[in-house]
Amino acid sequence: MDALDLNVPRRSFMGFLGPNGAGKTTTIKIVTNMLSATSGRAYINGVSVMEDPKTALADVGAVVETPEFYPYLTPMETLHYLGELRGLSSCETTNRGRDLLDLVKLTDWREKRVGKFSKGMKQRLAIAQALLSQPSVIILDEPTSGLDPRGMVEVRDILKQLHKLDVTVLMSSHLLNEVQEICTDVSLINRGRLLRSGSVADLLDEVKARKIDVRTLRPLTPDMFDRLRAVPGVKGFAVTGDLSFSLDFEGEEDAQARLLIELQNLGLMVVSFKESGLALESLYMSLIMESR
Amino acid sequence: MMEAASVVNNRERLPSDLQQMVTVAKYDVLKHLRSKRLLGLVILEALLLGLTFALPLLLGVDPTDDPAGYMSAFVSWVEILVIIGATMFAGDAIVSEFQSRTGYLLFPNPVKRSTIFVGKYLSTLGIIVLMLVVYYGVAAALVFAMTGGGTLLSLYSMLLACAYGAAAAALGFLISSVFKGSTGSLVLTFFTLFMILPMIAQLLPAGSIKPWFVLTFCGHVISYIMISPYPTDLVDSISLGNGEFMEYWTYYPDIGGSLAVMGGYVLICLALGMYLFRRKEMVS
Repeated sequence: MDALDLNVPRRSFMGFLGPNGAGKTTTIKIVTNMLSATSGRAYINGVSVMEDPKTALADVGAVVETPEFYPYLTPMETLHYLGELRGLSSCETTNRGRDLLDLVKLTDWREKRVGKFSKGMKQRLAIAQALLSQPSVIILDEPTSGLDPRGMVEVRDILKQLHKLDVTVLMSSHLLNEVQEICTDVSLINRGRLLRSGSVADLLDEVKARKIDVRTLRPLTPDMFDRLRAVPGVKGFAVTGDLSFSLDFEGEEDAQARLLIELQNLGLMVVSFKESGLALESLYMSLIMESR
Repeated sequence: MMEAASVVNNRERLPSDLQQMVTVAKYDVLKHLRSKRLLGLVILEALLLGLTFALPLLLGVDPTDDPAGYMSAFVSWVEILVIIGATMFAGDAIVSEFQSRTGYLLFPNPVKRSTIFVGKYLSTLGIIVLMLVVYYGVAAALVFAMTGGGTLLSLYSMLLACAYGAAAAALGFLISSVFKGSTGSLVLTFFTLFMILPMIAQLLPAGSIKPWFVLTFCGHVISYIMISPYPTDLVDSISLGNGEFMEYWTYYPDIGGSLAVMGGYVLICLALGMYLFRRKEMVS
């Protein structure tokens, strides 16, 4: 780390972005007391992790990398173990554990030993244990890393539900679309330095050109190209499939609405019209390049 | 199920270090009870007890009527049992949290590393004591069946074996805190207790040095206590020819001193091991 100054506002869902080796996991390990920092401080809810890790981590649920579970324990026993360490009563752990295993779709497996669980199942169980004590701070280190597409969708669905809670979330990821989809705030780091931090909306506003992915029922034919270029705000486009293309577009939401009307007027029969995560990617790439 | 979290005060309900230690020990005991290692050790105990009991009968050897003498045959296996137990249950107790990545689950919890360390040690000690109680219990029952009596010396021997187990486990925990891989840690723990320390204890008397500080030498009290009277150091001489003689010593560990040395091993190994464990970083 290199003088990283990171502040995660209360009740925000912060995406922690950076390329491989940027220092995301190192930061999270320092905050969760798995690594010792050579200098500097880390505070959680005002308590120093270095000086009083037990108190600092009391109100934190964390999933760091993909943890391994004790193979001789069942998911419910695992939750009881961790719950007991946090002072939850057996009854409370049982009730809450049942709900959480239901949330992460492991109810049918709750009495099976974890030894033979797949990586996706372990990751879902890891999220369940992080939520067990109803912590006010949740720290997630690349929670969808290494999962198959279905597993990623399942984990993302769970993460989206965290918005309903009164919690502060710090989630590292290198999946920009994931961050744009889930997070309210984002911090970008590279080589241990903070490049930019703020709300996702504010950062996206910095990127004037947006990418919009369009899927249609009728193909975009060459005779429509000029008409498409003439639509206000359209800076370019690329055909990505027989019935899909992407647009480089500059403009606010009202301009986007007009663009959609124009596309329908072209007779394309638009099926989906969605801003892609590439806007954040543009900002990310430009900041990474600048930092080199 | 995903209700607001703010109402819960997780700091206030956090258990004390002692309570957390008991929790860690409890679940670690569960690990041992469900492990194949314990099953293997139980089978080994059964084999040793069975062979010691049955072999003389099968060979037609008349067993002694003296309970202490009969019990000695069973006690002679205890040192190796303790070494195997310490290797199996302490040899990778700490390093496995890092190598198998379960530390990623345990360490972000509000538990001090020292609490985890002591909790795990207590569970290992508990399993070794359980193993010894079962072994001595069955052996005492067999002695009673064959001689119609028993001896208090076997109880003293068991207590000394527990102390030796505590020291051997502490040494295993220290080695486990140093190593990065389970295999290396297990192998070194076993060979330290089975070969390296006994070799040192064998070589030192050649220089007329009593190896009172070597753990495995102290462990011999487990067997020697069955001898009455308790043996004392003696010097003997061998003829080298030309009228010259070489003196050599046969040393026996004294009970009080050995207990103190075992206690020293426990304290020093646990203190060092805990220091290393607290500094050990969780890296992939």
